[in-house]
Amino acid sequence: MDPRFLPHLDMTRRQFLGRASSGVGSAALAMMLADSARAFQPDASAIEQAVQVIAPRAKRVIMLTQAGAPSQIDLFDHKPGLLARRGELIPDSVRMGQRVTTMTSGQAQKLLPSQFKFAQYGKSGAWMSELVPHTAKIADDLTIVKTVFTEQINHAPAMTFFQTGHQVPGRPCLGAWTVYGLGSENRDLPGFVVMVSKDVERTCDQPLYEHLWSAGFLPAELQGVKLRAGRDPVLFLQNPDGVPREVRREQLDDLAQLNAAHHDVTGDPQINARIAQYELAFRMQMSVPDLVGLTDEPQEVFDLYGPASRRPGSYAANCILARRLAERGVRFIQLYHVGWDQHRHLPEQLRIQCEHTDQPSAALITDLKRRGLLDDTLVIWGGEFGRSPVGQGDIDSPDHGRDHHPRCFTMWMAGGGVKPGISYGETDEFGFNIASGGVHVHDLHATILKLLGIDHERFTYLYQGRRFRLTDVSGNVIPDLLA
Amino acid sequence: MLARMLAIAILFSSPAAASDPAPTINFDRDIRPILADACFTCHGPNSEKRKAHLRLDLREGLFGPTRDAAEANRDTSLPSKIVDPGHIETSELARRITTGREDDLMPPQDGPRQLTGKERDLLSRWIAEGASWSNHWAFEPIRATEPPAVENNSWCRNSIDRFVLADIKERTQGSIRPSPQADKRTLIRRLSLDLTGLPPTREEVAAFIADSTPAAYENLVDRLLASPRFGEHFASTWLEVARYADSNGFQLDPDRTAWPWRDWVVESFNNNLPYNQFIMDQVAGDLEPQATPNQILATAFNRNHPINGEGGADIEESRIGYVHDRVDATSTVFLGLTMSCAQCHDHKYDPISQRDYYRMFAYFNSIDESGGGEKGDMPPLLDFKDKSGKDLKVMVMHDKDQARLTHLLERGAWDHPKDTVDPGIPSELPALSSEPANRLGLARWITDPANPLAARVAINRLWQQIFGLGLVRTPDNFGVQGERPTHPELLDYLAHQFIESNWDTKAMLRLMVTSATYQQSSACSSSLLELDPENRLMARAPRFRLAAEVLRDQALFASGLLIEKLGGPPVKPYHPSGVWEDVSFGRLKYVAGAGEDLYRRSLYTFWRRTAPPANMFDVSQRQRCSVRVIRTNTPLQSLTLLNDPTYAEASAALAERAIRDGGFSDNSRLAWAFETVVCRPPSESELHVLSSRLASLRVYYSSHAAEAQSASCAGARADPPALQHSEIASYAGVMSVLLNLDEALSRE
Repeated sequence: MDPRFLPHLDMTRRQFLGRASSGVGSAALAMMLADSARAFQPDASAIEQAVQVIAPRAKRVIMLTQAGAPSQIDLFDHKPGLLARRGELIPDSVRMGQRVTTMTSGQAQKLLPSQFKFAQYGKSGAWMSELVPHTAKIADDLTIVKTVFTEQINHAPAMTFFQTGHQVPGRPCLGAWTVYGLGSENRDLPGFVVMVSKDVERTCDQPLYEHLWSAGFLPAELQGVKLRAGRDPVLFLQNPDGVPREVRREQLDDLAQLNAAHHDVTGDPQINARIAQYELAFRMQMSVPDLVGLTDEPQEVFDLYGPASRRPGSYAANCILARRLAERGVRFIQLYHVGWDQHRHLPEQLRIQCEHTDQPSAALITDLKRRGLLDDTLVIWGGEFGRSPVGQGDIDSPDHGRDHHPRCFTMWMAGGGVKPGISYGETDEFGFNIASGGVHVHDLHATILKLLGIDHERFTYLYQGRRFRLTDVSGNVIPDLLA
Repeated sequence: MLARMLAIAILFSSPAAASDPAPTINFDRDIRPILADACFTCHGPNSEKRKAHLRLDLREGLFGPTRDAAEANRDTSLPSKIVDPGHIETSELARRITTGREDDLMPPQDGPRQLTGKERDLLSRWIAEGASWSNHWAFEPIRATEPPAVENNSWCRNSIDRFVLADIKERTQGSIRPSPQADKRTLIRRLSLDLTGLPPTREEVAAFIADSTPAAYENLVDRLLASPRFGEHFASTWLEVARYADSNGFQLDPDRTAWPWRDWVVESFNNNLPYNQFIMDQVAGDLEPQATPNQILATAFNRNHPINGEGGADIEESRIGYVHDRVDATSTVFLGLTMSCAQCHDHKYDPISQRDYYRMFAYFNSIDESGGGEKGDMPPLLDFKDKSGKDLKVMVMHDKDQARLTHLLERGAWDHPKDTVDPGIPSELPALSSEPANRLGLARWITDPANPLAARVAINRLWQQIFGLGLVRTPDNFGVQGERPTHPELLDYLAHQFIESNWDTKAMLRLMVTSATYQQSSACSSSLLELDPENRLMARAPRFRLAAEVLRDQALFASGLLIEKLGGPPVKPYHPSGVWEDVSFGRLKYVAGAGEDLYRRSLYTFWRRTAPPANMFDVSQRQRCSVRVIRTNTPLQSLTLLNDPTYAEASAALAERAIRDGGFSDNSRLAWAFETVVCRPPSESELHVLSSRLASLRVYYSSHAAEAQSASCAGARADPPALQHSEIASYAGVMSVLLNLDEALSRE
């Protein structure tokens, strides 16, 4: 039995458990009961102690992962004081021995203010730069956190850390944990969907790895299913050439009949589960194209998300898909957008990057809000770390950039129980260190789980003799972020 | 349902849960797991987290004085010992778990783990009954156990069966019997799939059925063990365990030349290299006296980890990451230990200190390597000639002349070195000979016949491969938080036999598959299923879905497409377009091979670490060592098996074969194909389903020429003549059903 499709629970077992209510339920318990062939049993009591002990504010998550590390110093973290210090070496008292990558460890660490114009927006007066004009318009819907920090300074370990709470691949990601705890609300789609966008003018490439959406040691069914742009949005979704849908239907009827007869011989309940999965596959062949087709979206929606939204696979098109997935009750929707790694050519490339993402990100919030979905959908925007207020390369040449910066960076959230119209946390006058209100990645995870109604300290999975948590052995919910 | 729950409780929870007469409490089985799970976090091996200087993981701590008593300032109304055997009232542990004084209650009320009422009762009863104590089973010497005497042992074929039968009798008071022997068709298919990863041919099935000599089954076993396919099949599991890949992973994911090591593994299994030598060569082949090139090649095992060529990465940080990976792989796969848990602090459950961890780390820390590099193959390299005489360079282990100093790393942080440590084995594990103080000494310690772990862990993995799940169901954890063996005496018996036989893998597999236990039917009554859903009694054979690699090989084999060629560089069969391109943003392009490359066994498929072959579901990510079996059941698998071009082509090719070789009537051809796939003829009703479908497909395809052409000409094989398109397409539609039958997907 696939936990992502909870309503398929065998009725008698469900009734036996007195869990006839549909919707949010314990996927783990369903798995334990339904799948006797499983090698590893989930710990139902751990789930029950952790999930729904607090009232959930969000039913689902849309994570807009900006891979490569957006430059907060050029987008959100306004530091006018840097202008007067342009080109000065960063004082040691500020740098405090902070590691840089080997790409800049050999060069002078010169301060570089943003060259972009900043202004305050909305009633909340949030500072944003000219590169994100659409995000500026929804400033009052956002919870801007300026003081997120992480422990990793290179992309692969930092992104792995951000997704799984640990820098070495192998642990489950936030999406898998979420679906493990809460199950799915849609019977025809997976509970955790991942989309990686491709935009035409790529600025720079940062690879992404399948392990970022893997279930780690959680049951493998919980891994993110990647929706791809193009003919096969899910791998092998299309029938082979020459096999029309009616032939497939007949094949599945035969399979069900022959398998059911074989079940009578072997007594193996897995056979029934297999029949159900083949039927589900058949339904997905309808539901997924229906999902990704966008043919029923009116022109004004494409206008809202911007011109690229007509092009399959673009960030803008994926933002529309994220909204459609949210409408269909998919629990965890994650977009990855690469190209934020501006070590060089930052002035030109950051602008392109924002052109691809600013309007669609803002449109998604607007769209969710007008459809009444924002209240119980938590949207999170941000990268695996930030960029340094110190320049990389010749700061007087247009090909300069900025190195990685894990000490403080900006993320924003919206909907799903976070407090709108606030900026949380302060960095120092250089934008280099946290002055107040630091939010570690573990804290962010703890807060996200809390919004989903999950106690991060009790939400554990026993593996290799240890009860693992997404937040490892730390993490504190940040109460000031909650509405 | 309630009855079922009760029955399971009686069968499988601790004996104290059963009704009168209460069986004796076994400390290691019944008590230590509770203490470990509920108490060790604060009162266990981890010195940093330890509270009140109390260690309940050690005998001295558990039976020692309370802290107050030790410091002679005790309240005389309170017990003076933690556990006073036979005396509840003078045992502090008993008081602490039941007291009404909130501050004294253990575990703390606000903690994550509370005791259940049953656990409290058990602990109290254990103390009252004299508080027997024993070491954790896996760290005790392997016992030369004797198969128990059993009545009615005509069912038994060898000693394995006596252990299994005695256990069934004891646990179920005779209410359950082993299942009858499976029929010969099931047996030959099971045996062929388990030992070679391929099904038998129709001719082999017929010959086996016709062979009524007593040795027919044993002869079949010997033939399969001698087949080169055996080495390929067992190597394929080992590649997964050993995180084998044909690329480095991470950012650029450049290709590497690792396949000569893969071929070494295939040959080692086929030549039945003694398992202790298999370990020796992989851990320390380069250090063995007069090491052969093959022995040096074997050490590529410890270079199979991902390599990070990311631009900004610190090369020393990366290098240390590789050493961590080697400790993890070596301790998991050979010792069943979760040593990685001691990377940042002392282990919380097992007797492995952080110092122990870095002593192990030191063995792997002197490789003459750099942590950086954007090339695929990073030194040290072995110059190696392949069979065609071509020069290859393969990453292997080679120590620097001057050993690197190893530091204990504070909280595991690479840039926080503390005291230096020397190489050494964990101090609380048996102190066997481990000279010299390098990897060679480590390999000798692991393979010492007196090492309690290596043989048990090896047997468990062989058992897992043959019986679907291990005797220890946590194959990656033989520590105190792992599961105990379902049959501890049997595990020790086999481990002992294994060592005595000079670690003879084929002989051990022969023993396993010739047992009556193995030969049981996998059919399962609903009452047995309810009593024993996880098959811990082994009163039936397991039935489980075949691995994705085996499914692909089986489809190629049945359709006659499989190209059997041993070894060589990896090949690139069909793969969905865009998968490599997506992860690398167009930098890496998948160009499928041609001809034979499309039809080789799956273990030869190019394994890109950042994008594993898309039709290989439930496989390890090959980021790190993984010994667990994953068997899920998802709609994505159904889509793969129905729509992947591999299976579309196999359906068409099987259709062609059936028409050509299956006789002259539809029924005979359909029966021929059915038997080719599942090794038994179809029943009348099954045949009726298939022939009705064939008829309806004929109606469709005879009037849809384009579809008929697409379906019949699927794949890169030679197109059949146009006149046959409609007929082949119609058959192919039925063949796809056959290849997707649950029976075809399962090992029965």
